Amino acid sequence: MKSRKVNLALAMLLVLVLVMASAVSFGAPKEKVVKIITSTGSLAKALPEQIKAFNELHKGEYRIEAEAESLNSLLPKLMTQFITKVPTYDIIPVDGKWSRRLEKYLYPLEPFFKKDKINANEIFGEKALAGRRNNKKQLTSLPVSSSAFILFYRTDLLKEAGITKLPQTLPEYLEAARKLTKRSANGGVEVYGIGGFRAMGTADAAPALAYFLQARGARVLNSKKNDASPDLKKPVTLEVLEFMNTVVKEGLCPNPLSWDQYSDRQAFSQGKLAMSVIFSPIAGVMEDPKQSKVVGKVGYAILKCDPAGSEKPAAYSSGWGLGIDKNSPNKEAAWEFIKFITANEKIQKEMAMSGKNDPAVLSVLNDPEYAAKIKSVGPVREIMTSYGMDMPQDVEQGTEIEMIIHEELQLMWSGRKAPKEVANALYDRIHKLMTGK
Amino acid sequence: MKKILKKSSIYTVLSIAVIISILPVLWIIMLSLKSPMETMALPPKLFFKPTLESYRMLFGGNETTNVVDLKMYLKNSFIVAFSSTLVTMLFATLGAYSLSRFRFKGKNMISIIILATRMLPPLASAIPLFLIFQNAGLFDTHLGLLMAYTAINIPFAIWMVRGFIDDVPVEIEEAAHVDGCSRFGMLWKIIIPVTTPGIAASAAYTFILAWNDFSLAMMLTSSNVKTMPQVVLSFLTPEGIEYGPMTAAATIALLPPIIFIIFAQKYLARGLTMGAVKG
Amino acid sequence: MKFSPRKDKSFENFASKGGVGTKAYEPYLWLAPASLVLIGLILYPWLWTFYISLQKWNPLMQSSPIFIGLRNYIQVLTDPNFLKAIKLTFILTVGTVSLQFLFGFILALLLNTDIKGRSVFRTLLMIPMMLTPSVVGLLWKIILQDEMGVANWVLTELGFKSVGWLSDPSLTMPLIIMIQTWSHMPFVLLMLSAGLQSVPNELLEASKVDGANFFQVLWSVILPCLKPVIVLVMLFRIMFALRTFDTIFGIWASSGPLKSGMVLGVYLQEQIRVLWNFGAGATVSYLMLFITLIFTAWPMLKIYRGESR
Repeated sequence: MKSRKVNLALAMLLVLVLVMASAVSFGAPKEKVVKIITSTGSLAKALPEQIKAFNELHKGEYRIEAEAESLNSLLPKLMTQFITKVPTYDIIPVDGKWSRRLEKYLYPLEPFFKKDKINANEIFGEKALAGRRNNKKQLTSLPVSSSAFILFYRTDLLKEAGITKLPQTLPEYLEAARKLTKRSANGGVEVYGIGGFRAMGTADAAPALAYFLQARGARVLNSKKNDASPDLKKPVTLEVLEFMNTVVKEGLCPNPLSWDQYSDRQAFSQGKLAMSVIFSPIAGVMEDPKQSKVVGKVGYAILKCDPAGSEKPAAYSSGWGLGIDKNSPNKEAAWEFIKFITANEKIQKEMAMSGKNDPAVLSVLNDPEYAAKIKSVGPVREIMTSYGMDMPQDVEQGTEIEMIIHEELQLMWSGRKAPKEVANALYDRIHKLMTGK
Repeated sequence: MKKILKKSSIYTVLSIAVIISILPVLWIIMLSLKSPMETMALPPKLFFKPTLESYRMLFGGNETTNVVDLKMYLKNSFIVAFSSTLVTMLFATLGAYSLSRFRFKGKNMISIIILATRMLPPLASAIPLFLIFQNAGLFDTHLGLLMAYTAINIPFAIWMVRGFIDDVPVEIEEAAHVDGCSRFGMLWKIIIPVTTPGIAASAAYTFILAWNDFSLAMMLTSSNVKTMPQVVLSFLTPEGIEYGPMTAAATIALLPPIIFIIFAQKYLARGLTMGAVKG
Repeated sequence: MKFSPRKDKSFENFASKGGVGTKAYEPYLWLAPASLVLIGLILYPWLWTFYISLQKWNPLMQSSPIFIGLRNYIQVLTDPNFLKAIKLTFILTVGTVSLQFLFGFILALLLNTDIKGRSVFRTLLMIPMMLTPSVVGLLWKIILQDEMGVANWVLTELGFKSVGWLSDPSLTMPLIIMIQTWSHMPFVLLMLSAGLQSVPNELLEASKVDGANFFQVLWSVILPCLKPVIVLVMLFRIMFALRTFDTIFGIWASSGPLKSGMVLGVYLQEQIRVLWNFGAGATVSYLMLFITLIFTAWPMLKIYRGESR
């Protein structure tokens, strides 16, 4: 009994000592510490090298410390920082579809452009930056990576099915999907004709609607982004919805109610999808023999689909950008790093060639060396420069729009609502949401 | 004969229960031993050559692929979980003795309030807690996280231990009092030895809660005190879920609670009872 | 002979205020460390949350809250999704707590016999409880995913038809109940095992001598001894079950197909983390507090009724 008491006491003492030891902070470093947080993943893997180089350059002045947080927890962490006005992190990651919602917490970068004589439009392209501007047309973040949802297709399967030209209209997509779907002996499906139809998570359905809708030149929101788009009531939306409904009804794609953003990538890389609309950075995965069964058999293209809406066709996209917290005490240092990593052709090219980051700088996108390495660059470049990008969530009511689309698409795809009803519901609900009527 | 039948049916039922409990966890372990291609393979692969690649990624591997240094996360989790369990059980046992053995004004009220503190879902409290921590300088410190875990686990620990103390008949303590024993002595020499199974069970559960907590850790830490659950979830990236390292980290995270439970079993299966009370 | 320590008269004298050797402040002193921690870290968040429940505040849309009094409460209480959430939460709680008890109790009794390898069995049975909750959701998603999961693959290999585990709204609640039972039964097992240790051996021996069969022993000796522990464990399981969301959100990143998994915890998560509607979120939190108090009042009263000293 006595030795047990002694053991317990010793254990407690040890723990206490450990806690004290780790709570002690060592002498304050002379350099200013500037903290950046990003999502885990490729960007987080591309940064450490560059941060090391940057810290070398600015030794004694400031030092960048990076942290990576899992994707789902990133926005909560950032919002906590903004709401409590405690700038834990100086450099903020801004996903394209968050831009409008976060802009009030970010420091506009115009003064820095003036100081360093930077013409952002030239470096990144006007279209690419449009989404990152606030109502005063100031940029609140600079893009560090670019991405768009493009069509991934199996060159071998298309050839086999006798499809020589990529589908250009909805009926052509339907036909192609029918030809490409291979059913297996026991009633299951060996290969689905087309993927990209998803409605599992609340954020999954909006892109699924948006890329076909936008490829046809229609939108969810009007051009001023203050109301539902009249396109929702026009035949063009009905055709898109009926197409999406038919594909699911005929079993040409997996059941969207249990299909989320990660499912397309896994299924396509394992050869279960003949075509799909996937996020462009995944092209790297498809060409990696350690992760993909379809290396060398994949083609990439812009999802083109006979525009009949009132707007110009656009791709659905979002890429990461970097911004500065309004309350950060280290704005100049933060800017130096942002400039170093985004508006810098050399560094962007380095990160791009390492395969860890799809560049946002136009000149790198145009670089033949890069094009030779990454096969998806063609479509992405075209989208960034001439085709255009858009997202329905990039307004303050973004998440509520996502939820409306999610609910309605689930109702349609589970057979509980007809496409016509869904089109009307989308318009009515979004209109009510945006205008309060 | 009846006894053999009874015993073998008990073994059967227990084995079935174990299989049901373990099978999904085995799947996690299998995923951690697969190569990246095999983790995604369709149809799922049941037979494969195991590789420690995912584990290597967590503990070394080359600089550009490995963004995770598991040793630091393990250390943080250990320190915070262990110390908060100790502190929690200490405070809780004291409080539980009071609630069980004393009669005082507001006792019922206090008991209910203690439990009620756990009835408000923690999600909404994240922001004020963050503010308290920032202002008190506890943000991103081991001490801070320790206190947070203690605060969330004390209510359960107090009520659980109190339930086990209630089960101990008071006669022994009365006898000890007659012999001149102090209150604290009674706690130490009588109550604790007899309620050791209950305390061990509560401590094990408290440890598991502290070890596995994610939302508080995410809110209240930055680079210094990141814990294991955060590592496991960090493999959810915009480019996809990295099943290999994620399941490897989850498997490793499973080991300390298992070890803790194995130790707790010693106290759990004591079978020593209040044989001291005769009629 | 029934064993009930609490009904003993002499204890009253012993323990009551002003009784033998007890100073008036002593009880509070023992509670002090616990209370300090709780007050320090819980009181302010509670007050803040209540304050916010009276505001309209969406940090993504406004920088500061706007006072609207009790309108949040009215809005939430008349939201059909909230009422649906209450119904589904009730189903989930009743379903999973009863199953957790059923299995936990049976297994605890089985493990209390003199078979070999008790610790091994017990340790292995505890494992589901030790997984990080967020991983549990992901794990079951991998297993149950309609198209690419193991479950359907096994089914089709064996010649059955694949099941829409994650896409069929009528399967959502049963699935969640099963998964939560799998995940939390070990807690019941753990606590009941500890509780069984406090059943005095002499009583068990005595009743055997009296010729009682297993069920009689169970009913007249074991259950009464275990009552406080059972009630407590039930209390905790109910409290936790009312808050379930990790598993559901981990699997679907939403409230399930056609919102069939919309329990209170998921509703709250959607308000705060998806819609960033803090005002409504705070309101829902307090409403959940009241609901939890109501649902746990019965077990708590049971404890106090047996403890009137």
